[in-house]
Amino acid sequence: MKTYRSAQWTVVLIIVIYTAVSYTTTRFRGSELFPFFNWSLFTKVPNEKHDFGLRLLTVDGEPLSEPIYFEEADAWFDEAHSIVAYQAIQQFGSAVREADETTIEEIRPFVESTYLENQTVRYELVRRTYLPISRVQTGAFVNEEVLGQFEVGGAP
Amino acid sequence: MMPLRSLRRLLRGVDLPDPFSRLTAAHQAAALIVRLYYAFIIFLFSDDYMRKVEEWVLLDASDLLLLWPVGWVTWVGVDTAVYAISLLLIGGAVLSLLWPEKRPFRLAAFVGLFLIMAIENSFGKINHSMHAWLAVGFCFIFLPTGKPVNRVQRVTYLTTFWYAQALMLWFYSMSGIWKVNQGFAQLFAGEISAFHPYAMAQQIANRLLQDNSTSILGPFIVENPLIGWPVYLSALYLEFFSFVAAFRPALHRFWGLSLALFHLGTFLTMSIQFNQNILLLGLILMASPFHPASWRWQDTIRDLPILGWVYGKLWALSQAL
Repeated sequence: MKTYRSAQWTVVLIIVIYTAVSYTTTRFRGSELFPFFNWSLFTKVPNEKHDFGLRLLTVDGEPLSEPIYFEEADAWFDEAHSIVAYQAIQQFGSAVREADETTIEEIRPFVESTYLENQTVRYELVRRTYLPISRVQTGAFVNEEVLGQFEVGGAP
Repeated sequence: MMPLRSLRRLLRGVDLPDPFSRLTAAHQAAALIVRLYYAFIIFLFSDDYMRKVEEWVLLDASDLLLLWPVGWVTWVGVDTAVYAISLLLIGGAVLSLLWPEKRPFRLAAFVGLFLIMAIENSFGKINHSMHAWLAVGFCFIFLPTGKPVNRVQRVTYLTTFWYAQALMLWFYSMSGIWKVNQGFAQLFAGEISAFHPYAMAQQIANRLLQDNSTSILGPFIVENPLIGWPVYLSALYLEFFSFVAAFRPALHRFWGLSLALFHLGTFLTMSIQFNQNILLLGLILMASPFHPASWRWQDTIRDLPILGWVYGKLWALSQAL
């Protein structure tokens, strides 16, 4: 019976600790602490949405006829449709917007080597504002704010 | 244990026999599921991780944004670490498959899975498709050592197994609680909330825009938002009350199947795959050892949170008329 009770309490404790840690780390640390996760997925229904995007100006040193966002550039980049790449770009954008140099030094080379594949690219980091259904239907943004222009791979 | 017993009594359904009355059969079913869990770990490694391992061993530690459990990888190199972790995972899973009653083997499988997930998530984003597998594996560490020989040991085994079910369902409830909480906040702020007819269309549109992807049904829902409304409300209900379902054996199969269909729906509309969770739902809920032996579909309806109460009232009313 002692084993039964200790097994019960151990697992109850795990559930309580898991919930407490996942909640507090996200709330006070701003990000999850693996493997704890608060399971807040698609919690907020996006109304007017803000995010960050890489708007490509030149690829392989060649200017594009019209700048396009990274997620549309599957002709050049294998990971263009990757949600992981999108999340990394959001981290990059947040760091630049908050002038967090430490994070920028870490995340920018990662994004450029992993997702821009160290190609010769000139790009803008853009904070975008849009209404989701409207953007799907028309492609229109409410606002596009350029946070900075960057080069990777020795673009001319 | 009094508070736990009170909670169990508060949340459980009505008029169902105690699941432990079929103790021996339930224990045998649970033991088989535990064994299958480790067989599926091997399958998932072979199906998914093995290909990733081939790519990871070519990387340098500087190519990764290493999570805390694998910070030590910089000292030994990615290739050595990944091979060692893979060996631990496969070794632990194979030994647990053969001797699931041995706790050290289950512990090794858990640590291997934990570390390989840490490597997998060291690329800038944490993916949650295997978190439930890890949580269930963690609960299984606490299963009694050795073959249960008496009633108390079998009850201990089943109780620990039930906690794995409850923890997985708690994850869904956490997700539902956030959505309902935020839904009210947005509702009172005058925004499109989780309860709004356009909620699902808004979510789908935003998700597909993030990586410029498409889905089979997503564009249709975006163009016809009202069709998504009842589906979205059903998903909210399902997630919110998942933890309650853990306490009601007649709901285990229904809830497992419904959550699996929910994941299928998120793939069809938002192009999000949670295949690993579907497999786990099938294993520990649809095949639940606590499913009542003499099940009738009315038992499931009656046990549905709130809706079951409404059904009961309507049934009583129809009988009175």
